[in-house]
Amino acid sequence: MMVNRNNYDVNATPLFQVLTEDQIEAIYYAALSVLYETGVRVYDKEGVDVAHAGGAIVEETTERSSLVKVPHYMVDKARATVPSKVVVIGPDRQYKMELYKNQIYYGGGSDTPFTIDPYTGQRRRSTYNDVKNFARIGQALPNYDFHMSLGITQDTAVGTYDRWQYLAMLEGISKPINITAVDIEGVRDQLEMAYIRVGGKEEWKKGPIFSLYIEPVSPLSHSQEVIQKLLFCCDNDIPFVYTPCPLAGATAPTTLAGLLVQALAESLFGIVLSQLRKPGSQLIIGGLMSNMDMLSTIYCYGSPEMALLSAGYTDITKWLRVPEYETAGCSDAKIFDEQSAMEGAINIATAGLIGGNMIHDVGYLDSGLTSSMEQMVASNEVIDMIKRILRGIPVTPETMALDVMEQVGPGGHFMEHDHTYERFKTEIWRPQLIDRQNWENWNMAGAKRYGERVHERVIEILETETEPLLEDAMFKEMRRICELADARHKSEELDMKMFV
Amino acid sequence: MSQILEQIATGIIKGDLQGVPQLVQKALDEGLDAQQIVQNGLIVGMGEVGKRFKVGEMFIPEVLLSAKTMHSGQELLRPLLAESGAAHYGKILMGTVKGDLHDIGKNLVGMMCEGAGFDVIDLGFDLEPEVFIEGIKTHQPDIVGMSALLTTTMRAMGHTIKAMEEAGLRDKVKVMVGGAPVDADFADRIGADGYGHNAVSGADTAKKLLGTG
Amino acid sequence: MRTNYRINSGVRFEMLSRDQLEEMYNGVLHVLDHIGLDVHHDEARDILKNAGARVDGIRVRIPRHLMKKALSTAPRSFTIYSRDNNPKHDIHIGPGRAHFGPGPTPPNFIDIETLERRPFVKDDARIVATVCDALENIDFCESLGTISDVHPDLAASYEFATMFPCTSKPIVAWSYAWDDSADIHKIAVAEAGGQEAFEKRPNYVHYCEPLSPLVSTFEAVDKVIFAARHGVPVIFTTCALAGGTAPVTPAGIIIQTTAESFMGLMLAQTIRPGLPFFMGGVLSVMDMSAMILTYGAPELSLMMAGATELAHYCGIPLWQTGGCTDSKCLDEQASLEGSISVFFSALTGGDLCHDVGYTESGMTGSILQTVMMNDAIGFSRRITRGIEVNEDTLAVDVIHDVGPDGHYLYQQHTMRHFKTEFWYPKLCDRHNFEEWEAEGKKPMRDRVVERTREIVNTHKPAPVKPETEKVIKQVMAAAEDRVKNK
Repeated sequence: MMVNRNNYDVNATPLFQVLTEDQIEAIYYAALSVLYETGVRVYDKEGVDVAHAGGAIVEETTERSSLVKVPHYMVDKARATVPSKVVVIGPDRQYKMELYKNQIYYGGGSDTPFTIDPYTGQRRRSTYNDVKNFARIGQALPNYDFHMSLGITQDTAVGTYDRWQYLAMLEGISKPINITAVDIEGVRDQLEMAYIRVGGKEEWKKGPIFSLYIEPVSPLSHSQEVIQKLLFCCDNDIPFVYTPCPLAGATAPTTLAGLLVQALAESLFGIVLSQLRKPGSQLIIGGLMSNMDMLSTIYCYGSPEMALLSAGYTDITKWLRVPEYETAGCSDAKIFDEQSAMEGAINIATAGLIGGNMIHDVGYLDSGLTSSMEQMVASNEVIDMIKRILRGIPVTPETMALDVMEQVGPGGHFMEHDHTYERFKTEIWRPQLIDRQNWENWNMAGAKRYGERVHERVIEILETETEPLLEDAMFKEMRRICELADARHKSEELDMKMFV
Repeated sequence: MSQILEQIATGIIKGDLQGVPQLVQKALDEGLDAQQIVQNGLIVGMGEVGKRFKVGEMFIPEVLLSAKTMHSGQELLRPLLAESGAAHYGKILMGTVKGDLHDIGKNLVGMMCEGAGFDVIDLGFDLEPEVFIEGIKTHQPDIVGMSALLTTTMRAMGHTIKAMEEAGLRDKVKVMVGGAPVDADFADRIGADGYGHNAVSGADTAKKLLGTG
Repeated sequence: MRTNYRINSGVRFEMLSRDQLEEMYNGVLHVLDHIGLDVHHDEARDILKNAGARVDGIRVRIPRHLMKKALSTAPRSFTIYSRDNNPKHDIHIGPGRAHFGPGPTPPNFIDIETLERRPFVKDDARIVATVCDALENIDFCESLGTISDVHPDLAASYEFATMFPCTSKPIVAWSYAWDDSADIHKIAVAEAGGQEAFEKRPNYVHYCEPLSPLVSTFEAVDKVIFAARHGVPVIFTTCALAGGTAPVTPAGIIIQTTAESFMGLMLAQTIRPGLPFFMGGVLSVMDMSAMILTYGAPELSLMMAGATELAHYCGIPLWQTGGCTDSKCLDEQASLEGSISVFFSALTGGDLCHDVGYTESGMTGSILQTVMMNDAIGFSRRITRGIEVNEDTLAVDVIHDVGPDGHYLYQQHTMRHFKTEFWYPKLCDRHNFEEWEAEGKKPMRDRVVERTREIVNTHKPAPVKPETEKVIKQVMAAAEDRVKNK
């Protein structure tokens, strides 16, 4: 009889690693040096005070900022209390993101000034309606786990766009959302809206329905707005994403390892400050880490360096045991085409393989300036393909099928064998928009490019009626918050239409 | 005679930060006209750099080093050029508007403008309209350049232009704007004179606004 | 100063653990020893029998210890040389190195001028070879078609005769039968300077394709014998459809195709121990609606990755598959399918990855697809290069010098690194919107077509020696003679 086996390693999924533990530590200790010897510049007195009270050295204070140097032990202390798992849920509790080591979730990106009009294919400024429609697309895609606006509402008041943007998203999607905010007043307003959506503050405590996106500036610079948002989130139990966007060659060292050192120093400062303010504050670190293309000066969203840096950073966050903000599904192409398909496919594969947690920017084109529904829909299928590969290769007597091979024998075939019949539905991935027809059938069906089929699917989703996610009364209550915000800030608006 | 001008041009292309000012001094010592050195040495060199950059033979860091080299050569000649009343190479005041801390784009444009011969004064980032006003009064630039990376801070460009109008300074300068979310349409709406869609075109726009491009 | 520092050179990817690979390896040995294969070649069966195999009619079974012996003589590392001593075009097969190239024999081709799908002709072989010679991320050449405007029996010979002068990168040749193999070999040997010189520096590889499941066809076996007798590095691999001609499970198809290759390996190593030998093949799923072998399926990448690791576990290089698609045109599907398989091939270090340029599930060869994949390969190679971590790249001093709110554009550190640290694409566009608009708002496929035409019109491969030109003429004349009366 076949007795059971031990001392047997199994890869239940493929394994991918960019940095060894030794390399991670080299980067980590270098980041500690940067925090302690170079320091970061903090443009907020309250933040400086919190750091100082926790043991930081404060120097070179000007009217607006101070240089803050963080000794190593403060980082160790902070690491002891920073959560290794952060949960963000959808408002109806149907969707949940449990962000911790190697759990992958894919979602959109935020605040693109431009969008590709789904009907005309033209690039134009994005509107409230666009944000709502992008949310609806996200709702319909099974491999899309969380949402970010994929457009800034430029037909609303500019200085309070964040409330309108959140409202538009809530109209379209009931998955977890990563929001942006103009300032802490904007966060407060959106929190009020969230309370309305879930039924009160206590409900929020059972599971926050948004996280806040906070972006310090590289190199090593933390503005007043950024620090104020961080402190507010800590005080109000709002999980937040603290992510710089260092650009190799411009705002970070040209060498990828050097960029990781700087980015880690910037993130660690967020960890230190948040844990000082309130031990156990939930944050997610990461960033859009990429290179400046040295011929065109753009911020690359579709470069291999972007994918590689994000993956390297994921190795570091896994070692630190802090949830991570990754990047994929994006491209520098200006439209959904072969370039965006290529760049998006490989960066989606890289992010999934490395185990990035909150993998954002699906649907981003044009170096993050333009959102595309086609890129979203295509990425959804690519993610599905990658997930098939991530299932790995099980090696068992059943899967090795030696007896099946013997039964079929040389020259036979496997099509009618039970082994095939019992498994083909789960083994063989089925495409949705990818076409596998032969030449004649494909021609008869219209000889369409993949992009055309993707486009048709976009239109189909947009034109399919869905149950409204917000009851009328709830919508009106939330809209009131937006209108009040507009009224408070009216004088700051320009007295003409800025965009649309 | 033209040999030293050739050497200067080559030094610009190579980004020879140490050597070019020395060559410029040598050219002056040999009796060459400052204006000539600029036109036939420095500008020829940067012109070649621009050509090579366009076809992808030179990269941004190399272009910037050439620009810095050109600028260092030009600094030596500036007092002489001013004396002789020769062509004015333009002064540009740059800053990132209020609420915005991003300045890498602005820095790039500034460096390119230096390479185009401009005198660049960088006021920094997160600038209130008043800071721009003070800057105009203090430095009397030909061009004011404003940068923003966030859609929300773009309106500060409008506010700043308005402040210039109210201070009676609007017609004393040309205004150009830039930044990722900015486009020509927006520049038009707020009454800017020019717009650059990236660092290189920013410098070209500046030249055009001055009438030398 | 640091010690005890273990780093990754490049990134690390692993589909299967060593224990799982050992399990599968034992499965392969079991198939060869217990089930065996049908070998449709009398002489081959005799050779195998004399070596110790158990032969029962046409069924051949290889005892485990014999198979292990054969594996021990097959080399893991060797070089396939450019025909003109250009070290840049040599292919160094060895651990961790992935190489890419097109594939053989689709009936159709995409005309690069009209963009129409039409039968493959002799001049297309010239075009494909020329483009392969020019593309920096393509390492070897295959024709992407079956020549239709010559005598059908001479398609393989004409293909090699046409391609050989148009690229100095190694060609992977195929043939119908012994005579064509001989034609091809004569040409290659002429350029190498004789048989002895060729054996020292082989400049092409011979591809042989037996049949799944577990059938070593006469033609495939005959060619292995030819290759072994003439010292030609050889590929002996099948195209297997999971659920059709192989088990539907990845573990099963990998084991079967490995066993299919190993029969050829046994034969080759018996005739000439030490002959460079590739196992592997095209492993993919049968699409259960379209009933075709899918070239764009995610399972292709999955199965090829497992096959690569098993091959390397056994100490053999692998004939990989990637850069291919089921799409019928040069579109986003062709791009994403090809890119995914290219990426995984790069990750596993599948030694020679072929079919870069296969479209329409292998029915149509497209050099446009190859040109497009050239960027995907470059992209993937930059990722697999990984992140270098040392004092210089950690750049702590530079970070300190620049400081908060500074920038790195003027730093010497930047100047030293920006060219080598970053990949610069050929056809992926990095302009901003206004510039892209000014250049005609082109999707990538337009740039691919333009670039392909440009290469064909301007690229000048290194020519063959004048003597070789003569030999080519002689060989083809003799070949025509041979088939005249057929």
